[in-house]
Amino acid sequence: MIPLFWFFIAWLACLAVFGVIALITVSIMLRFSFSALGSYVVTALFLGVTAAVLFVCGGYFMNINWSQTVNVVPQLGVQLSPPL
Amino acid sequence: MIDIYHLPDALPDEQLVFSLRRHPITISGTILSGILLVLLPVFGAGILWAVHPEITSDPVLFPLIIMAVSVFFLFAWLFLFQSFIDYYLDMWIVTTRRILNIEQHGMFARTVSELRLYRIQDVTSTVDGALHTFLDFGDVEIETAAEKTHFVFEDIKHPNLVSKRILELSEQDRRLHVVDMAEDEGTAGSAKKTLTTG
Repeated sequence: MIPLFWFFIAWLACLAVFGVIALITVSIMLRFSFSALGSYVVTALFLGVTAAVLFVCGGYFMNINWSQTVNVVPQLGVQLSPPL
Repeated sequence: MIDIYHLPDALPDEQLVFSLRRHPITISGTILSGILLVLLPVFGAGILWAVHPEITSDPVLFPLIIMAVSVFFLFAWLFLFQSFIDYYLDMWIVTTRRILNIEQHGMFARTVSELRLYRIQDVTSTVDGALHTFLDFGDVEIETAAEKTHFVFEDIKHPNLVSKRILELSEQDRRLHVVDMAEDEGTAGSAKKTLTTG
Protein backbone atom coordinates (compact mmCIF):
# COMPACT_ATOMS: atom_id res chain seq x y z
CA MET A 1 0.00 0.00 0.00
CA ILE A 2 1.58 3.24 -1.19
CA PRO A 3 0.56 6.56 0.32
CA LEU A 4 -0.85 8.96 -2.21
CA PHE A 5 1.55 11.57 -0.88
CA TRP A 6 4.48 9.65 -2.39
CA PHE A 7 2.96 10.01 -5.83
CA PHE A 8 2.68 13.73 -5.14
CA ILE A 9 6.40 13.83 -4.31
CA ALA A 10 7.12 11.96 -7.55
CA TRP A 11 4.97 14.49 -9.39
CA LEU A 12 6.95 17.34 -7.82
CA ALA A 13 10.19 15.62 -8.85
CA CYS A 14 8.96 15.43 -12.45
CA LEU A 15 8.01 19.10 -12.25
CA ALA A 16 11.50 19.93 -11.00
CA VAL A 17 13.05 18.19 -14.01
CA PHE A 18 10.62 19.97 -16.30
CA GLY A 19 11.43 23.28 -14.61
CA VAL A 20 15.17 22.91 -15.16
CA ILE A 21 14.78 21.97 -18.83
CA ALA A 22 12.22 24.72 -19.41
CA LEU A 23 14.48 27.29 -17.75
CA ILE A 24 17.38 26.32 -19.99
CA THR A 25 15.15 26.37 -23.07
CA VAL A 26 13.69 29.79 -22.29
CA SER A 27 17.13 31.22 -21.54
CA ILE A 28 18.43 29.96 -24.88
CA MET A 29 15.42 31.45 -26.63
CA LEU A 30 15.88 34.82 -24.94
CA ARG A 31 19.62 34.89 -25.47
CA PHE A 32 19.87 33.88 -29.11
CA SER A 33 16.63 35.07 -30.64
CA PHE A 34 16.24 38.45 -32.26
CA SER A 35 14.41 41.25 -30.56
CA ALA A 36 11.07 40.91 -32.32
CA LEU A 37 7.42 40.66 -31.37
CA GLY A 38 7.29 37.00 -32.36
CA SER A 39 10.03 36.07 -29.89
CA TYR A 40 8.22 37.74 -27.01
CA VAL A 41 4.82 36.33 -27.97
CA VAL A 42 6.01 32.75 -28.28
CA THR A 43 7.97 32.86 -25.02
CA ALA A 44 5.06 34.46 -23.19
CA LEU A 45 2.68 31.86 -24.63
CA PHE A 46 4.88 29.00 -23.46
CA LEU A 47 5.29 30.43 -19.96
CA GLY A 48 1.63 31.41 -19.73
CA VAL A 49 0.26 27.98 -20.64
CA THR A 50 2.76 26.31 -18.30
CA ALA A 51 1.78 28.61 -15.45
CA ALA A 52 -1.93 28.02 -16.14
CA VAL A 53 -1.54 24.24 -16.04
CA LEU A 54 0.46 24.40 -12.82
CA PHE A 55 -2.06 26.79 -11.28
CA VAL A 56 -5.03 24.57 -12.14
CA CYS A 57 -3.28 21.43 -10.89
CA GLY A 58 -2.14 23.18 -7.75
CA GLY A 59 -5.64 24.44 -7.06
CA TYR A 60 -7.08 20.95 -7.46
CA PHE A 61 -4.41 19.30 -5.31
CA MET A 62 -5.08 21.73 -2.44
CA ASN A 63 -8.34 19.85 -1.78
CA ILE A 64 -6.93 16.34 -1.94
CA ASN A 65 -6.60 14.13 1.13
CA TRP A 66 -2.99 12.98 0.75
CA SER A 67 -3.20 10.50 3.62
CA GLN A 68 -5.09 8.06 1.42
CA THR A 69 -3.26 5.01 0.12
CA VAL A 70 -3.07 3.18 -3.17
CA ASN A 71 -3.06 -0.61 -3.05
CA VAL A 72 -1.33 -1.74 -6.23
CA VAL A 73 -1.96 -5.44 -6.91
CA PRO A 74 -0.58 -6.38 -10.36
CA GLN A 75 -2.82 -9.36 -11.04
CA LEU A 76 -5.99 -7.53 -10.04
CA GLY A 77 -5.10 -4.03 -11.17
CA VAL A 78 -5.22 -0.96 -8.96
CA GLN A 79 -7.37 -1.26 -5.86
CA LEU A 80 -8.43 1.61 -3.71
CA SER A 81 -8.16 1.60 0.07
CA PRO A 82 -9.92 4.04 2.30
CA PRO A 83 -7.76 5.74 4.94
CA LEU A 84 -7.43 3.85 8.21
CA MET B 1 18.30 39.15 -27.37
CA ILE B 2 19.99 40.45 -30.45
CA ASP B 3 18.78 43.63 -32.16
CA ILE B 4 18.60 42.76 -35.82
CA TYR B 5 18.99 46.38 -36.84
CA HIS B 6 22.14 46.79 -34.73
CA LEU B 7 24.14 43.63 -35.24
CA PRO B 8 27.20 43.04 -33.09
CA ASP B 9 30.51 43.91 -34.80
CA ALA B 10 28.67 45.82 -37.51
CA LEU B 11 30.70 47.03 -40.48
CA PRO B 12 30.72 50.69 -41.49
CA ASP B 13 27.64 51.77 -43.45
CA GLU B 14 26.08 48.35 -42.96
CA GLN B 15 22.30 48.17 -43.27
CA LEU B 16 19.89 45.27 -43.02
CA VAL B 17 18.40 44.08 -46.31
CA PHE B 18 16.84 40.68 -45.56
CA SER B 19 16.25 38.55 -42.51
CA LEU B 20 15.19 35.15 -43.79
CA ARG B 21 13.92 31.95 -42.26
CA ARG B 22 12.70 28.74 -43.79
CA HIS B 23 9.13 28.82 -45.03
CA PRO B 24 6.68 28.05 -42.17
CA ILE B 25 5.31 25.12 -44.17
CA THR B 26 8.55 23.25 -43.42
CA ILE B 27 7.76 23.17 -39.73
CA SER B 28 4.02 22.61 -40.10
CA GLY B 29 4.38 18.83 -39.78
CA THR B 30 6.35 19.08 -36.57
CA ILE B 31 3.97 21.66 -35.11
CA LEU B 32 0.94 19.56 -36.03
CA SER B 33 2.49 16.48 -34.43
CA GLY B 34 3.30 18.50 -31.34
CA ILE B 35 -0.24 19.86 -31.10
CA LEU B 36 -1.70 16.37 -31.42
CA LEU B 37 0.67 15.16 -28.72
CA VAL B 38 -0.37 18.02 -26.46
CA LEU B 39 -4.07 17.37 -27.06
CA LEU B 40 -3.74 13.61 -26.58
CA PRO B 41 -4.42 13.80 -22.81
CA VAL B 42 -7.51 15.89 -23.50
CA PHE B 43 -8.89 13.27 -25.89
CA GLY B 44 -7.92 10.52 -23.49
CA ALA B 45 -9.67 12.28 -20.64
CA GLY B 46 -12.77 12.73 -22.75
CA ILE B 47 -12.89 9.05 -23.68
CA LEU B 48 -12.26 7.99 -20.08
CA TRP B 49 -15.01 10.25 -18.81
CA ALA B 50 -17.41 8.93 -21.45
CA VAL B 51 -16.68 5.30 -20.54
CA HIS B 52 -16.29 5.73 -16.76
CA PRO B 53 -17.93 9.00 -15.67
CA GLU B 54 -17.68 7.96 -11.99
CA ILE B 55 -13.89 8.24 -12.14
CA THR B 56 -13.94 12.00 -11.63
CA SER B 57 -15.33 11.51 -8.14
CA ASP B 58 -12.76 8.86 -7.15
CA PRO B 59 -10.64 10.38 -4.35
CA VAL B 60 -7.50 8.40 -5.20
CA LEU B 61 -7.54 7.42 -8.86
CA PHE B 62 -8.52 10.79 -10.26
CA PRO B 63 -5.62 12.69 -8.60
CA LEU B 64 -3.25 10.05 -9.97
CA ILE B 65 -4.68 10.57 -13.44
CA ILE B 66 -4.38 14.34 -13.08
CA MET B 67 -0.74 14.02 -12.04
CA ALA B 68 0.13 11.71 -14.93
CA VAL B 69 -1.76 13.78 -17.49
CA SER B 70 -0.26 17.09 -16.31
CA VAL B 71 3.31 15.74 -16.50
CA PHE B 72 2.67 14.32 -19.97
CA PHE B 73 1.11 17.58 -21.15
CA LEU B 74 3.93 19.76 -19.79
CA PHE B 75 6.68 17.67 -21.38
CA ALA B 76 4.78 17.55 -24.69
CA TRP B 77 4.37 21.33 -24.50
CA LEU B 78 8.10 21.72 -23.82
CA PHE B 79 8.90 19.46 -26.80
CA LEU B 80 6.70 21.64 -29.00
CA PHE B 81 8.46 24.77 -27.78
CA GLN B 82 11.90 23.26 -28.39
CA SER B 83 10.89 22.19 -31.92
CA PHE B 84 9.78 25.73 -32.63
CA ILE B 85 13.03 27.18 -31.25
CA ASP B 86 15.05 24.86 -33.48
CA TYR B 87 13.24 26.39 -36.47
CA TYR B 88 13.03 29.97 -35.19
CA LEU B 89 16.70 30.40 -34.33
CA ASP B 90 17.84 29.32 -37.81
CA MET B 91 18.23 32.49 -39.79
CA TRP B 92 19.95 34.06 -42.74
CA ILE B 93 20.69 37.74 -42.51
CA VAL B 94 21.64 39.71 -45.60
CA THR B 95 23.02 43.20 -45.12
CA THR B 96 24.59 45.65 -47.54
CA ARG B 97 28.05 44.30 -46.61
CA ARG B 98 27.76 40.63 -45.65
CA ILE B 99 25.64 37.53 -45.20
CA LEU B 100 25.23 35.85 -41.83
CA ASN B 101 24.20 32.21 -41.67
CA ILE B 102 22.95 31.31 -38.20
CA GLU B 103 22.07 27.67 -37.56
CA GLN B 104 20.82 26.25 -34.29
CA HIS B 105 21.50 22.53 -33.86
CA GLY B 106 19.43 21.31 -30.93
CA MET B 107 19.72 23.27 -27.69
CA PHE B 108 23.45 23.52 -27.15
CA ALA B 109 25.01 23.78 -30.59
CA ARG B 110 25.01 26.85 -32.80
CA THR B 111 26.90 27.73 -35.95
CA VAL B 112 27.35 31.26 -37.22
CA SER B 113 29.00 31.74 -40.61
CA GLU B 114 29.77 35.09 -42.15
CA LEU B 115 30.42 35.91 -45.78
CA ARG B 116 31.46 39.23 -47.25
CA LEU B 117 29.36 40.09 -50.26
CA TYR B 118 32.29 40.88 -52.55
CA ARG B 119 33.44 37.25 -52.23
CA ILE B 120 30.30 35.94 -53.89
CA GLN B 121 30.99 34.39 -57.25
CA ASP B 122 27.69 32.80 -58.21
CA VAL B 123 24.13 32.67 -56.89
CA THR B 124 21.62 30.00 -57.92
CA SER B 125 17.96 29.75 -56.93
CA THR B 126 16.07 26.48 -57.09
CA VAL B 127 12.33 25.88 -56.82
CA ASP B 128 11.67 22.16 -57.05
CA GLY B 129 8.30 20.51 -56.50
CA ALA B 130 4.62 21.30 -56.77
CA LEU B 131 4.25 22.63 -53.22
CA HIS B 132 7.40 24.73 -53.62
CA THR B 133 6.07 26.15 -56.90
CA PHE B 134 2.62 27.02 -55.56
CA LEU B 135 3.96 28.58 -52.36
CA ASP B 136 7.05 30.06 -54.06
CA PHE B 137 9.75 28.82 -51.76
CA GLY B 138 13.02 27.04 -52.46
CA ASP B 139 16.79 27.11 -52.07
CA VAL B 140 19.35 29.77 -52.84
CA GLU B 141 22.88 28.48 -53.26
CA ILE B 142 25.81 30.87 -53.06
CA GLU B 143 29.23 29.98 -54.40
CA THR B 144 32.02 31.98 -52.84
CA ALA B 145 35.72 32.57 -53.00
CA ALA B 146 35.94 32.27 -49.22
CA GLU B 147 37.18 29.38 -47.10
CA LYS B 148 33.64 28.08 -46.86
CA THR B 149 32.83 27.89 -50.54
CA HIS B 150 29.16 27.08 -50.37
CA PHE B 151 26.27 28.80 -48.58
CA VAL B 152 22.74 27.48 -48.90
CA PHE B 153 19.55 29.26 -47.90
CA GLU B 154 17.12 26.40 -47.50
CA ASP B 155 13.39 26.61 -48.22
CA ILE B 156 13.16 30.39 -48.12
CA LYS B 157 10.34 32.48 -49.56
CA HIS B 158 10.75 34.08 -53.00
CA PRO B 159 14.16 32.55 -53.77
CA ASN B 160 14.36 34.11 -57.24
CA LEU B 161 13.93 37.62 -55.87
CA VAL B 162 16.39 36.95 -53.07
CA SER B 163 19.09 35.58 -55.40
CA LYS B 164 18.67 38.52 -57.76
CA ARG B 165 18.98 41.00 -54.90
CA ILE B 166 22.04 39.24 -53.46
CA LEU B 167 23.77 39.47 -56.84
CA GLU B 168 22.99 43.19 -57.01
CA LEU B 169 24.31 43.71 -53.49
CA SER B 170 27.42 41.71 -54.30
CA GLU B 171 28.16 43.87 -57.34
CA GLN B 172 27.54 47.00 -55.32
CA ASP B 173 29.83 45.81 -52.52
CA ARG B 174 32.58 44.99 -54.99
CA ARG B 175 32.38 48.50 -56.50
CA LEU B 176 32.26 50.32 -53.18
CA HIS B 177 34.82 48.33 -51.23
CA VAL B 178 37.68 47.76 -53.62
CA VAL B 179 40.15 48.49 -50.79
CA ASP B 180 38.87 45.54 -48.73
CA MET B 181 39.25 43.26 -51.73
CA ALA B 182 42.75 44.55 -52.43
CA GLU B 183 43.76 43.99 -48.81
CA ASP B 184 42.65 40.38 -49.00
CA GLU B 185 44.49 39.84 -52.26
CA GLY B 186 47.53 41.64 -50.90
CA THR B 187 47.64 39.40 -47.82
CA ALA B 188 47.35 36.28 -49.95
CA GLY B 189 50.07 37.56 -52.27
CA SER B 190 52.56 38.26 -49.47
CA ALA B 191 51.92 34.84 -47.88
CA LYS B 192 52.67 33.16 -51.19
CA LYS B 193 55.83 35.24 -51.53
CA THR B 194 57.05 34.16 -48.06
CA LEU B 195 56.55 30.50 -48.96
CA THR B 196 58.50 30.97 -52.21
CA THR B 197 61.50 32.75 -50.67
CA GLY B 198 61.49 30.88 -47.31
